[in-house]
Amino acid sequence: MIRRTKIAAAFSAAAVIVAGASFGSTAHAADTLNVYAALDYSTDVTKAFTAKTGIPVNLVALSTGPLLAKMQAEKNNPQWGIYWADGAEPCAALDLDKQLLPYSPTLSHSLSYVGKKLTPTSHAYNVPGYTEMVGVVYNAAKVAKPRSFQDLLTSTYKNQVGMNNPSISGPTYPFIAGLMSQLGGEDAGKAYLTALKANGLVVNAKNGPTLHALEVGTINVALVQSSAAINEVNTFKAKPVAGFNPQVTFLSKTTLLPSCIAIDAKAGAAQISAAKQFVDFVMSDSGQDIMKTGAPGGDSLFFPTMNSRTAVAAVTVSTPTIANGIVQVVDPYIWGPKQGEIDDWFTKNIA
Amino acid sequence: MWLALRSKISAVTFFWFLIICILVLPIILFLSCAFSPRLLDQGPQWFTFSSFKPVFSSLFLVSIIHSLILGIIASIVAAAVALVVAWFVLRTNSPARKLWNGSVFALLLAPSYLIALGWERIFERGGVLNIFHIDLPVVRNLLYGPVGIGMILAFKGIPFAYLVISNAMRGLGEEFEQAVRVHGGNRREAFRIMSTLLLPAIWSGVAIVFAESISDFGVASQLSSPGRFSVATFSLYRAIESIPVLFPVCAAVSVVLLALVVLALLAQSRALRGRSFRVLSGRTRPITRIQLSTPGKFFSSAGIVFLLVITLGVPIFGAMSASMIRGLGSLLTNYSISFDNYIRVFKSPLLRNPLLFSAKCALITATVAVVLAAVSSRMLISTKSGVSKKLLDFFLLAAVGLPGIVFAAGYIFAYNLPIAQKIGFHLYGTVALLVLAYIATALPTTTRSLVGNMNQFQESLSEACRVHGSSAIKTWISVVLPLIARPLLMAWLLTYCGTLLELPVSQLLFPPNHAPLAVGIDRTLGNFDFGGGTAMEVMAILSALIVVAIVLSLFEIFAPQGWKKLGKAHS
Repeated sequence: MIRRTKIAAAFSAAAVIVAGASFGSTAHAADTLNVYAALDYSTDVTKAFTAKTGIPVNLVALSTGPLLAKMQAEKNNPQWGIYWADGAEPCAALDLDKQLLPYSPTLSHSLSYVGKKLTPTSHAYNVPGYTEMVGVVYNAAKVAKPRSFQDLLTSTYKNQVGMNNPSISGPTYPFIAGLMSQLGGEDAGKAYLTALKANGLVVNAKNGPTLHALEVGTINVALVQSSAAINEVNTFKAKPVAGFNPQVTFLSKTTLLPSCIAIDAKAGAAQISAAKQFVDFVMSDSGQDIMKTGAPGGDSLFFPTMNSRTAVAAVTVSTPTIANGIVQVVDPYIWGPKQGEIDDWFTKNIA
Repeated sequence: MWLALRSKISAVTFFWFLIICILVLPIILFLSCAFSPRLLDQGPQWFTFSSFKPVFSSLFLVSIIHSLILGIIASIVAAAVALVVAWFVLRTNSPARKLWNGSVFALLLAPSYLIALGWERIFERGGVLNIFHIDLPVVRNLLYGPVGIGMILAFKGIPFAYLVISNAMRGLGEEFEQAVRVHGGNRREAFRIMSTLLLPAIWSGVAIVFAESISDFGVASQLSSPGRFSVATFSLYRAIESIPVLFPVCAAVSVVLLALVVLALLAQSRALRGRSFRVLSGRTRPITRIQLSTPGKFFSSAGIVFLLVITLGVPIFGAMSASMIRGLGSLLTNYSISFDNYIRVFKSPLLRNPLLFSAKCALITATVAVVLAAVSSRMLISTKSGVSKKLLDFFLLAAVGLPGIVFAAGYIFAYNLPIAQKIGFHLYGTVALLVLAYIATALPTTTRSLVGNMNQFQESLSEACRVHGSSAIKTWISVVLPLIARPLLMAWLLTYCGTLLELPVSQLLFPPNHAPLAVGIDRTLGNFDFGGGTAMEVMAILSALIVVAIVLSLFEIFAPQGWKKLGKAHS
């Protein structure tokens, strides 16, 4: 019996070693830039960057939650050189923890007014583009266009409105933070959301289920990320379905959701040098062109922050400007640390 | 020198070294985070209990009770259904038995979110029933709550429990049932005796389904808002979604989840203590199928078909509705079927390369995990009740009870240590580490699936062979292997299928530029391409079913007759 166990164990050990050896190693090399990204055009952008500069890139492409979990688990020995994802709150937290290397890109003087407002003065992170939270998609065949957040509390929209749970959907928290900010604070925001719930608010996990609820008529107004909203409208415009006429609108004030790119302060010199070149590339015309085509129907539906750039043609809504007072920027250094408490409150009282 | 070293390091030592590397170290390091966040740079304190603060909140305590009840109900229901189905499929001439055998792996592969999605599509407002002007708000409310969650967890557990129990049932000869009948027992009593003899396998099935259920988050989050019905894993995922990620809190929640796993182990140990289940011997008689009457055939077939419709048909519909049907629901009169998503993803590099990569990883994982599981299961059924056996049992179930994402975080803690990098040990970020983590994830289930069979094996068989001069290797090949060949094969297929679509470990450990299939699907779904993502999932499942069919066919064609004989029934 013992002998048999020994034989099997020896075989298993050999198999593991063979497996490991046959697969070889793809661990990080010193001259390779490690990019951790949660944006779908990142694959195309990194390929173009390597083609242009000759710098090899190891890309880890994940959604924001798992990506941040990986980075936090690696904290005592960080492997990333570049972090790139939607939402400024994670970057603000990394900056407060002194994990980010400030860098001002060579083209930072070409940032638009909105771009400058979204970028911290320290340039702890940079913002090549942004979306809006929230895009309001409504079924024009069933309900009238909502004009304001207060509209959603009226009987016209009773049991008609749906949104995502910020505990599960990352981009939803900036929307709630923005709502609280413009209403005068956390308490006023909580009161508004409580009233919205009393008016029949439906809470789903993420954009997908919320938009499905809109399509099947469970709700007629969906509060989702602007790129998801625009994609929904475009999809049904291309192949119309009777009884469903999705339209997108933005309510005053809509919060801007920046896509943020940051450099690891603890990375080696070669990696930092490559990371700076990567940030410059992303902010350049070449990088921005690829961002506009790399994820059609998804992340490519963003608004650029560079003066000379415009959004891809599929973005059928006008580029927001802060000057008209319809959009706002919330301070991630103030609202980021409150996220845990506010998400908990939302889950207990609204979801 | 090598010989001297070899004499000091036995194969068993190496086995334990491997278990420590792939299971014990990551789990211990992760759990240590709850008490000493500073140790892994996850907080300022060297020693604290503050991470347990959220664990003692009223919300969490309620969540624990929810998880416990759901786990118990799902595991008992799944094992009971699996036992009855196994009996009809293996011991009777029910016409639907071949249909079940052909479907069980599809059932195993159906992701829980597709099962949940299918049920939602049927009962939701504007769903399928609404198309036929049927509205069942009471059923809908039940579905979007504990009843629906428990039901789907039980459905998800049935194939696991079935594979474990059916393997053991194959090794149970006809002589026990005949003995009952000879002594005047009826068919019900014979079934009761047989169930008792199958207890190790039934408990294994219950343990697997229980551990899987309490560590599940997807079904609960899909069917019920966490605010309305929370489960223990919700607190854990909240901590992961926090900025920054609160791993010490995750670890504290994991400690509690593991305490639940210990309870399951204690229950299993108490139920089986002091009893022998060694029924597999040289005198094991082939089974003669019970000839059912016409009503018996009808009702057994109807039952199996009904079970398949609700467990497999509904997720298939869920997949179809997500990937092929446009305008389902309130767009009542104007929906259409399209294969656009399938055509699109078939050509996509997001499907092709990740599918090949994941298939290779699954192939290696399944092969190594089955070998390790054979060793582990022999240790677990050993009559000696040593500490090592109990530790192995605990860590094997702990790996199931811990949600995959925190198990993977434990791997990062263990293999991304600065000291490891300084001494040139670069395993983190490699395919090899990903495969080792897959093996560790698969090992508990694979081991449990073999425990039932190993428990039936009588040592006298191999001892007799050795007494007659056979070597250890020859004894294993000629005596042991024929008796466990089919269970090993089933365990291999179970592991292959489970690994192909594994997501949480893949997400945190995949090497750069080598995204596994599940990561590709997750990214596609995250990019608002719900139809494309589901189409990728369906195609991956089909590819796995093709592998299952090929492997089973090869076994039927090339395996020696003796290997295939065990569990075969006469009609």
